[in-house]
Amino acid sequence: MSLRRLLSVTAAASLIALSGCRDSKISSYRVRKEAPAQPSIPPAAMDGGVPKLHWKAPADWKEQPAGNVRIASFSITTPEGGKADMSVTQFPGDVGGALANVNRWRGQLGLPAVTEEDLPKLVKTTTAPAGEFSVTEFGNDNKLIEGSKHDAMIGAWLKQPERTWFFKLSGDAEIVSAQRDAFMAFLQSVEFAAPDVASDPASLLDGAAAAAENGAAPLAGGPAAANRTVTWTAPTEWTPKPLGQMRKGSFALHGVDAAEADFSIISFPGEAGGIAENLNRWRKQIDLPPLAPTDLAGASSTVAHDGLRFTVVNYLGTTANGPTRLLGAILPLENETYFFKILGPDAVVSQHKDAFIGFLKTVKVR
Amino acid sequence: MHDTGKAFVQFFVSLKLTVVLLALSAILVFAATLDQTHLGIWGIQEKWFRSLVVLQDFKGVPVPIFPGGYFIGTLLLINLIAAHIYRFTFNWKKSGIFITHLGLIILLVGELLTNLWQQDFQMRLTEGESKNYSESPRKNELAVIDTTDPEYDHVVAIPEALLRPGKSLQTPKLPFRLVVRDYFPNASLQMRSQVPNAPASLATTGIGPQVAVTPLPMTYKENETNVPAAYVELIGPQGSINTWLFSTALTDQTFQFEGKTYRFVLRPERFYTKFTVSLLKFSHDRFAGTEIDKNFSSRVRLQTDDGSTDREVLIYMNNPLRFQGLTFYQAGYDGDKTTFLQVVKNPSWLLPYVACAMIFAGLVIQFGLSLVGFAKKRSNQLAVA
Repeated sequence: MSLRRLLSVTAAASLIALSGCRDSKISSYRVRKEAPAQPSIPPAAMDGGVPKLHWKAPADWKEQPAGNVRIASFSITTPEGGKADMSVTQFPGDVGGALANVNRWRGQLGLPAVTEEDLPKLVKTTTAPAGEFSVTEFGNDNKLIEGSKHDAMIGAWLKQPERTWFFKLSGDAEIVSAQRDAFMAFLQSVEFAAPDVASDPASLLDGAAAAAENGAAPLAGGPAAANRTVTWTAPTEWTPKPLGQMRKGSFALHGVDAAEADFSIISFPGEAGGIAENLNRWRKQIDLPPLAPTDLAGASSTVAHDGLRFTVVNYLGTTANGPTRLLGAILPLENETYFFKILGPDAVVSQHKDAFIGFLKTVKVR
Repeated sequence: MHDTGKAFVQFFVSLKLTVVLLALSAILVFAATLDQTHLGIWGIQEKWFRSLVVLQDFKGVPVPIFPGGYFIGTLLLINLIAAHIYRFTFNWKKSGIFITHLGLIILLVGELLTNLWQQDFQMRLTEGESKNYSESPRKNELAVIDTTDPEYDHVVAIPEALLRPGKSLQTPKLPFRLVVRDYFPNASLQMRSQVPNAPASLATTGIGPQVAVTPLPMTYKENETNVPAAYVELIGPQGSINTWLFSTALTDQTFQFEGKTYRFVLRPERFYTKFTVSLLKFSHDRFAGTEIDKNFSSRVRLQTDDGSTDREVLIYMNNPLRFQGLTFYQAGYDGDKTTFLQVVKNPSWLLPYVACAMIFAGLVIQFGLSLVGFAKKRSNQLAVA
């Protein structure tokens, strides 16, 4: 009997002990080097870069959890038990156009459909910082149920090239009518924020690329395929410098009077925003105005070597440090883009121009 | 004292306890199913089933509301085992019942072990790509990778669960200590230039100072992923070195310290294997004239590091690859060139099969014995008559 009891207790204790044996620990291991890691796709990227909306809602609109379709949802109630609902939604395209929208909403109130000719009477436009809203308003005077309140609706939509935004206030006619001004003020407060960083990697690269040249890392968003190895041979008079955080190569180029220019080599996944965007980024660094893509082509040359095509630019600007020259080359590869850049006093950079072109010809891609 | 002990034993062996526990299990499953609308499938598993007590958040205070799956399951198991030890005396006539109950015990233990030991990963492969690791679909890790060695990377992997504000993380493998300054389980990251009023960044180096982090509530939806972010300060023997922002939305950031190059990345937890899987061909058939999936399959090449295995395998629905304790199921696809394999490590995967076979055998034996007994009795009665 005592053995049986002992067995029972042991079984119970071991099971309870087992249930608590999962915890997180730091681990360490060694792995063979692999091709650069594939950046993960953040969920924001999945929404196709839909811009975020901001607004100011009146204090008496109670925010409700947004659903799958609703971007925002508010409920408005009165002490007498009246109710109204405000929703913000977004759909791709024009969702059938103005007539379809109006008739869809009229249908929701049990009102008969209207024709194209009726639209000018029913739809007004109002201009707000976010754009031009089409606003329509109607009520159903027929009580569906004896004793029930009248229903009414104010709806507005804002058309953009890729999508249409809908704002709809519906509910008891008295509340909808009382909230009319608040609704119009809400439309005026609507603002578009830029798409999330993660959802629009190209928009980031400008900032991220500048950061990388100063020694920081870019945000995710590049393609997945393995990168190739790029090698080069630098002239011996160029002094190698510590690589910093993102630099693939880093050298100091000397001139007379201890003047020095900086040569950096960095790479980014994909097209990194494109050549035109990056050339304008470089122009900005030496206080030159941006150029249109067609003008940029005229202001650059091509150095071709060993199957590689470099877009080479030689810009002279004036910064706080005096005349500053930027000698740069962009090399787009299959999955990444390499940037070679000498930046420094005009005299020093000009002195190394031939060496720079000679250097580009030593670049090899394996 | 003796009476107390007896009452204790009586409690654990009682049939009433069994009935109550079975009823509680039914309520547990029902309540968890309702809660699934709030937390999603993974959330409720952790909250309702993989817990001793179900905690419900009331205005920030976790309040126990129901016994959890581990608690009920463990008590059921104790009840079953204890009843057997206390009541059951073995004889051949009852061998079927004994085997059936043993099967039930193995089923319960198997489920517990699956909960404790099973690990799920996924492997995303595009045609021509090879991988010797799979990734966790839900858990992340902060990998600090010493890339100085030209041939090998030395990785220190810190589970996301350890990234709690104020936590100091130290390992002899690193010449610095990591102190978590802030952590957000889900956040939106934007360039600071796009968010002019963002609060100052804690980060002092890397991309961090240029990024604005806005904390978001965690998502439990199956088609959404949390984007965690953490500010981590590195502290060396001489004091603070710098502070970084890490997030799954950021790519790798590198750092040089004491002659070594380190790469930091917050990424899905990795599970490395001693073999490599390469996707040779992904086939995706649809019913003619429609976008409805008919069949999809992945032809992969399986190569072990030691060269003992090098073969091609076709993975398709209901035909997984089982190799070195891992099971690779065809789980999904992305376009016509990329496959998703679900990788499951479950050392106890055989137990449910063994348990079901035992229950089946036990029932057959028990009914068989009864039938034989009945037939004998009947033939004896006929003989007497």
